[in-house]
Amino acid sequence: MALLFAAIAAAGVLAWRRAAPRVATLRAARPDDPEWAGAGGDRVRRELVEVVGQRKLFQRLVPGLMHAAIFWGFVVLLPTIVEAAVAIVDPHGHLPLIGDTTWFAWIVDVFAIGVLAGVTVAVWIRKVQRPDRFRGSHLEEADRILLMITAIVVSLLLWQATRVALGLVHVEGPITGWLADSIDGVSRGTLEVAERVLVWLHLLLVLGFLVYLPGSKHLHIVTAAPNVWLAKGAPSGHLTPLRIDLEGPEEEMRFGAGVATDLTRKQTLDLFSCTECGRCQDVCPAWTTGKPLSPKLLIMGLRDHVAAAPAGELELQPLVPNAVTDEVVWDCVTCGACVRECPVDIEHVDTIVDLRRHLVMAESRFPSEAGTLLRGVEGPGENPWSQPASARMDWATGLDVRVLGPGDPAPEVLFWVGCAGAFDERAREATRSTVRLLQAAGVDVAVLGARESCTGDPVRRMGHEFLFQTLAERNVSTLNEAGVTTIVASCAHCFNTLANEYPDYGGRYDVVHHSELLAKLVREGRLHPSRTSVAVTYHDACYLGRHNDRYDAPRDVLGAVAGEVEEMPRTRERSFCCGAGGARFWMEEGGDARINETRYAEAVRTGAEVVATACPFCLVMLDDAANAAGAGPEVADVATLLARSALTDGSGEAT
Amino acid sequence: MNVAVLVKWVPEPQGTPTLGTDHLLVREGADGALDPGDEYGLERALQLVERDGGEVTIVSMGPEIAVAAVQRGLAMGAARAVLITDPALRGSDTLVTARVLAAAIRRLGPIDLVVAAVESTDGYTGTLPITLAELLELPSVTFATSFDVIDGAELQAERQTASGSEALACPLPALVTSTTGVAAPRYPSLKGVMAAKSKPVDRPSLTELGLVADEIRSTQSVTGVGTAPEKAGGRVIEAGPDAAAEIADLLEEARVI
Repeated sequence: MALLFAAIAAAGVLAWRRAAPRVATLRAARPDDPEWAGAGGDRVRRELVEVVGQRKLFQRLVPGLMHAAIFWGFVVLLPTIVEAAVAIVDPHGHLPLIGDTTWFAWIVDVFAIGVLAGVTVAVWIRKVQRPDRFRGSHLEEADRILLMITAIVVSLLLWQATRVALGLVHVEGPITGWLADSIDGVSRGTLEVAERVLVWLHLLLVLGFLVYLPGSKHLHIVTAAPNVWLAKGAPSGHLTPLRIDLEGPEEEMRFGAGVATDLTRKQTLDLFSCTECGRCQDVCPAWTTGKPLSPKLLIMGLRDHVAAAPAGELELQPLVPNAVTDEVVWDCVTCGACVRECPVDIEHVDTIVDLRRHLVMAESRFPSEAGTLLRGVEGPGENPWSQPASARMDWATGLDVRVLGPGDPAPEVLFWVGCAGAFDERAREATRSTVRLLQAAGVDVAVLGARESCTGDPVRRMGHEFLFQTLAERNVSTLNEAGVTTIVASCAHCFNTLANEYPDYGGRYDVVHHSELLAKLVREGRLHPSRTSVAVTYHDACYLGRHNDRYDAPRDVLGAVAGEVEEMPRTRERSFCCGAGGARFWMEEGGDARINETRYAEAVRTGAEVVATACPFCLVMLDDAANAAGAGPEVADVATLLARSALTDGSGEAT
Repeated sequence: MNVAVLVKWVPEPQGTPTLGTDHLLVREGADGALDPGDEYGLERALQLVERDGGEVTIVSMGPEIAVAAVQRGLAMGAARAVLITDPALRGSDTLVTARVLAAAIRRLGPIDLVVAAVESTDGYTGTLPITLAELLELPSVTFATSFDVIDGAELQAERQTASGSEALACPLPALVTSTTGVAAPRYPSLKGVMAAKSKPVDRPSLTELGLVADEIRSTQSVTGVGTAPEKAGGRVIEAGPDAAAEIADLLEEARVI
């Protein structure tokens, strides 16, 4: 008994010693912004689906089954640890209720075999399959953990077998029964010694595991559930505002994450939750096209930096470039594929944006070519194209579009044109098509014209939160004064910002994407497209699809004008970015391959004659790729395709 | 080393300017900013004092809204500013402007280098910097594509000419006018914008500058303005076997190559 308590106490002390620095780091981290109200139900649901149900792990079937077998086994076998402790004190002792019952004996056997099967698959994945997602991960640490798990489960089964053989328990599971039968001839004295050795071995292995845990990547078994609980949840396209008051006291001013203590508790817990599984790395547009950014290596870099800095000195060293390089921070397209993939809900994108906020607002450090974006949006025309506001309606030449003047009655639907839709030559075609379709369907639509500004999406994702805040406040005030209630946006980025981010600044509107409105008008018989047999494929925009779960409307529109949509291998919530997001549209691209060309090549392989998009940035990026390729399917917005089919002149352009 | 950088508030270059009945620009209520052409020289000046020590002082003359341009310069990193605003200076010609700026620069005490853009992007007279150099009795180097200060005593500059480039040296103090080539202007950080608010901006009156009425009376006046003719459409050369040769001929004709 005393020995048992001594062992447990020693393990506890050792484990705490290893855990203490991490706890101190978490305590030193900035408290999270309180976004708790009303989200409790969603959090409970996530715990059930993602932790208990292992949903995100099952995004990859075999590794998912492997992990679920080990995880569920771990949960179910927890009581056997207590049983072992009880048995050390009294060899005849059992747990109340479940100890010495046939059903539990069966459950233990089945789940223990499940764990061993899971470990076998894990070893096969790591040693035989060797997927690229493990590049940069600590493989030897995983080996140690798998070995430890195996030892714990095998010692459990052997111990149970000796108990069955000795008659210490009166029930048996299929495996322990078989094992007990196979040691039938062994003398009782030997068995009694073996039983004592095995129960101690089992318990010491468990305690050893406990001690090893806090300093290892396997800490996720403790941190994953709280990390999932603290995740911000849908829609993932919503960034947490960082209020900046230039008139306020300077010492209260924060400009994002410059040093470790600027990270929030959730961001810090993210670092301690990563198991280096590399699922994020595998889907990252930057990494898979040969750029330095891997979401996994980013998290590991930050974690190693935070863990290496002794508590109290965390504030001294800038995170960039010590923990991660500038290049890594600027490679991100904010597509959210990593976040969507992460089984423990690590939020890489928000952390990257926080790092950018510090670089831009505190240090003015960013790729020089992106300066054009900031100067243009900050300039009098308030758009990344640096065009004068008076040019905002140039796209409408020859069309009769109502421009909402101050004091005019609010329209049924306000069409938010967006800067790309107003200034980019190719995107203008989709803008014109959208307006003409809405007018043809009898929708009362108007635009803001010169009073529209950039929503601020690109500058926000580039890290200039203050400039975003300025634009958001101004646009919200314009929209509110105009009495706008419903907005249709043809840009996925404008859509996301208007729908998810403007409520933080007092702008609450019913925001729809043009693909949704057009699909509805077709469904209601207000537009009459004629179908052709043209083969199309559809490229999901990240800020429409993955960040906002809108996948069907654009496909519905395509279904009405063309044949079947030939899906690309990476589609819907696992779509692959065009390369424009996160202000990358305005930056030069390094690496082995270009993201847009990689995606266009994927579209070409479907055999489609048309690559359909539903966001002007995707349109321009993929069209650039088509031009670079020299030949290949046309890239067109769903509105353009619908206009060609549903408008009487059939040209898709104004007569 | 102390550097004075001349900056000017100009109306938004892409906007449509409004002219008053006196043919002068209506500046009230117009969108405007620090003349983009001034940022290059300011950036180079900031680089020099960051390397060698010293301070950059912004010197500007303009209406009340010109404070915005001055603040931008301070946000970029200048230490202080002088801004002269007086209704009597409205519509000043370059000689009067130069007198005012010269008085303001003399008042700063010893200055090693005066930096200005080649010309402003609203008036485009291009005569102000050399007039100022004359009034201050400084040697001037114009159209610098790059410039540097050696041992705090000598200005070395490259300047663009019609047929090539020249490398020049002259002792300090001196005045230099910079082209867009001298440096890539920095984008001020938000910290810089905030710090700019507490930097000193001197607003001396004309009397404090010691200027008398005669000196600030313009001798030039604008007597008429006209609209520039619309640009003729460009010539399109279709892709084809002769396209490259045709383009080369045109470039040669234009003496570009």
